[in-house]
Amino acid sequence: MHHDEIPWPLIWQAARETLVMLGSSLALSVPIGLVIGVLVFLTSPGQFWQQIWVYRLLSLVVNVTRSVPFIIMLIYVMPLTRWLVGTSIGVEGAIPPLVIAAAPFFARMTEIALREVDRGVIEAAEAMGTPRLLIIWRVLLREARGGLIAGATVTAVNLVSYTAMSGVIGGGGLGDLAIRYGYQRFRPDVMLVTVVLLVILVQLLQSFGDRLVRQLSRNQ
Amino acid sequence: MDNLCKSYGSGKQAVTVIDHVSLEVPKGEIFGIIGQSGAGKSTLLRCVNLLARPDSGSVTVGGVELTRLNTRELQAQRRKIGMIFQHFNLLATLTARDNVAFPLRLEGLSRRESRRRADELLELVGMAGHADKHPAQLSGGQKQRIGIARALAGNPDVLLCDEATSALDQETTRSVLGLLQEINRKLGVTILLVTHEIEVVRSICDRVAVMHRGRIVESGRTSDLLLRPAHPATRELLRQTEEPDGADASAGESGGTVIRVLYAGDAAGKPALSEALRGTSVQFVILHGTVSRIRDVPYGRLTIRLTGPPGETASVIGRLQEQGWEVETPDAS
Repeated sequence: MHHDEIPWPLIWQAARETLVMLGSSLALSVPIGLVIGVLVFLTSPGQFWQQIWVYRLLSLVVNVTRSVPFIIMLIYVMPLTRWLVGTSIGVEGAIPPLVIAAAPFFARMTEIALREVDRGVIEAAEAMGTPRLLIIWRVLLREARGGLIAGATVTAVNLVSYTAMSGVIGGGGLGDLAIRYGYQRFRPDVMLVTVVLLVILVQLLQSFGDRLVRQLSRNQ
Repeated sequence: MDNLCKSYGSGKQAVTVIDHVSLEVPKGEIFGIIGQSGAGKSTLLRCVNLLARPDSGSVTVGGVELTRLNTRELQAQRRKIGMIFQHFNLLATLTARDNVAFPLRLEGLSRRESRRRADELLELVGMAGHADKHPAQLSGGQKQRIGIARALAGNPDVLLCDEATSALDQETTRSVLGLLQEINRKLGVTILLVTHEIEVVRSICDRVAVMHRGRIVESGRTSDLLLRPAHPATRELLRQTEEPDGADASAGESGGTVIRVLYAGDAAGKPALSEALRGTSVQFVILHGTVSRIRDVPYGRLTIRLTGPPGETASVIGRLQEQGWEVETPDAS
């Protein structure tokens, strides 16, 4: 490879890796976070599955996982990762820690979105004799959908920056390329290209999320 | 409702919200519970469909003792009890039609069938033209009409109204109350409403109970209770709407006796005052007064100054009383 040329094949390869890590970890952490978030919300004081100890425990788990810096989490959960996916390196090895970091974050976002739902609407549904699972599905999650999508967008953006750190375990991706080429091999041009690509990716995610939220709340 | 008690908190911080309340609401009537905010009336209303669980006592609606039911049975019974709210509590993400269809879907109607029925209900509440709008596009009065349509979807025997007009302006309040009255008459739905507005009680309630600090201090037919309030809490509520009484200022003026009279029902149709004055030299001035009706009962409440010889004045008062007028003389009050 000529010294001055930008290694485009490597960049596209890295971009693909970033997208794979982002897509699969988002696809897993959103449903997992949603379930945890709903449980945290419904077991909190004043809600209909009020269980103060379950609430405190879940809340603690969410807080602890959220306060561990991702770079440390990445290494710390390696045994679990190996058990889950058979390897603790590469793109595959990066996905479990990404999910472990992002799911609690999205759980918190879910809880916040559910708190925004008018208490009175839930009461009205109860007064109509709505079974609780239907209240969760047709009232809570439905009324909170704008907040949930906004939360998922923020989670996705966070995941993009987490993937940059997965280079430590050989996860690849754009961030990894930026560090290996841009920083360690003094290639500011590679650094610039990867950063621009990451910025574009984040912009796309954010504006897609915003548009979805706007569309859903058009009449509200 | 029999001997209900409910308190929040525990130990020393416990606040008793409902204190040994028993109440019977006759079928087909519009029954009002009135009280200051914090009197416990909203909690009492929530005890009817057990949105709030009483600590003790029992609730029976239409012969079914709700306090004995398990969750599933209670959910089924709640569908027979409609409820509307001060802040409407509609789902913001659903159109007016789908809000009304929500309880119908719970009963297992198909999407199409429930929408058709929802349209009928919207027609009933005068909102047929707004079916595809979302709550945010509707005014307060319109939202409450949607709320009423939704509450009626399960063909309820009872409709609970929690401060249903408190967030509405006067004119809208009147039209919503008119709709409630129409529903009561046409569909025979028993309506139990709580309010802090005496006007709501005056205009549509057959009976009323006054709640004060968790207790029902007084109850009876609306006209009786509003004209002859016995408990200080009731008088306090009535004072909200009464115009300032000009009699106090003029009572000290020389010449004559100032009396306050109250007549209601049959007595209101008689020319009692002119009969009482006939043959005497007593003259009168009306200082202050209201002549109106509460539900179907006409009444008058006047402050009158009578001038004339003391003996004749006394006999005029006596004759007024014979005609069924209640007279309060300054000495007595």
